[in-house]
Amino acid sequence: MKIRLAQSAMQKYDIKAEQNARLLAKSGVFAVDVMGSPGAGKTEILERTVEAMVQDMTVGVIEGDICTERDADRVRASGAQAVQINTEGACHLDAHMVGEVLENMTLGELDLLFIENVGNLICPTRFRSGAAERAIVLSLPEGTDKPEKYPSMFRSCAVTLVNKIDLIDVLPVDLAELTLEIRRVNPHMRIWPVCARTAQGMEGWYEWLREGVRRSAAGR
Amino acid sequence: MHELTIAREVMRVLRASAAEESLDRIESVSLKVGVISCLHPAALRTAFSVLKTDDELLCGARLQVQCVPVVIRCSRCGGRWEVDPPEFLCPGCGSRRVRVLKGEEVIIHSYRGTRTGEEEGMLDEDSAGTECNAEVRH
Repeated sequence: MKIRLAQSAMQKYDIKAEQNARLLAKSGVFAVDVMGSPGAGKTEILERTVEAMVQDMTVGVIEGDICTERDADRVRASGAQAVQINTEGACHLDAHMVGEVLENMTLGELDLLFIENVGNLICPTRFRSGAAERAIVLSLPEGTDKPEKYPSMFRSCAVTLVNKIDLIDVLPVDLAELTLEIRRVNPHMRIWPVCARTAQGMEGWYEWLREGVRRSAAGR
Repeated sequence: MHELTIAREVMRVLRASAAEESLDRIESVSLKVGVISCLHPAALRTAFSVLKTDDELLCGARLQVQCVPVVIRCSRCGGRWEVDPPEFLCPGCGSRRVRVLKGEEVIIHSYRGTRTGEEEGMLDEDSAGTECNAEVRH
C-alpha cells in the first residue's frame, strides 16, 4: 500500500530551532549565527567583537568545531562566557546540539549570544539554530566568486563581514565587484569590509549588534 | 556529509509511520529535494543504501529522489517564476527582490510498504517522476 506523508525531513530540526528561538526571545537575548569558510576569521571577528561589546553588556559564545576547545578558549580570553560543542565529525551544528547548550546556560544574564558554526559554506545553511540573525564572514583571499557558488548560504544571512581588508593592496580582488556579487544573490545584505586583526571598519557591525540587543531586551 | 544526517532522519520518520500503519516491509520511498536544499541526491542515495543494509524494514527499499526547481515570487511585480540558480532575478521586471517559494525543501513525499503475506506491484504514476541526477547548487 502507498502511504502519503508529505513531511519535511527537516521537521525535527526546524521545530527545535523554533523552540530555541522562543527561549532566546523570552530571555531577551539577541542571538547571531556566525558562519564562513575555515580560516575566514570567524573567531578573530568574535574576539574583537566580544572585547568591544563586553564594555557595556554580557556576551556569550557557543563555538562549534569538529574537535578541540581552542576557539572557546580564545573568546573566553576576550571576555565572553563560552561553551564549546565538539561535533565529532559532523559538518554543522544543529538546533538540538545548540538547544542542549542553551538549557545549561544562564540566559537571563546574557544580552548577546554568538553561535559560531563549523567552518563550512554548505551544510550549516539548512540547519537553523534558532538565532534571530545570521552573519557570514568572508575573507578577501577567498575571492569574489563565493556568493554565486554558495547562493543558499548568502541568501540565508543578513550580514557579510568582508574580513582581511588590510590585504586589499596585495590581492587581485576588487571590493566593488565583490559587493556586487553579494548583492546579486542577496540584495538585502548589509556588508562591512573589516580587518578583525586591527578592528578596522567594525563600528557599523557593533552598532547593528547594539540595535539588535536593544530590540531583544525590549521584546522580552 | 550532512546527507547521512538527513538519510537517518528519513529512516526514523519511515519507521514511525510504518509502525503506525502496521507495515513490516518498505519497498520504495519517494523524496522531493529542492535544487537549493544543499543536499546532493547521489550522496543521499549512498547514505540511504549504507544505512538500510541491516534494517529489516528498509533493506529492500528503493529511494527515488525527485528534484524540485527553484520558484520565486517577485516582491516588486508579484510575478511567480521558475529560475535557474544562482540567478535570483525576476524574469518579468528584472528585480532581485524576490522570495523563494520552492527549491529549498526536503520532503518525504510518500512510500510503499507491505504487511507480511501481502505483495505489492511497482510504483504508480505520480510517485514515479523523473529521477534526479542533476548537479545541485549549494
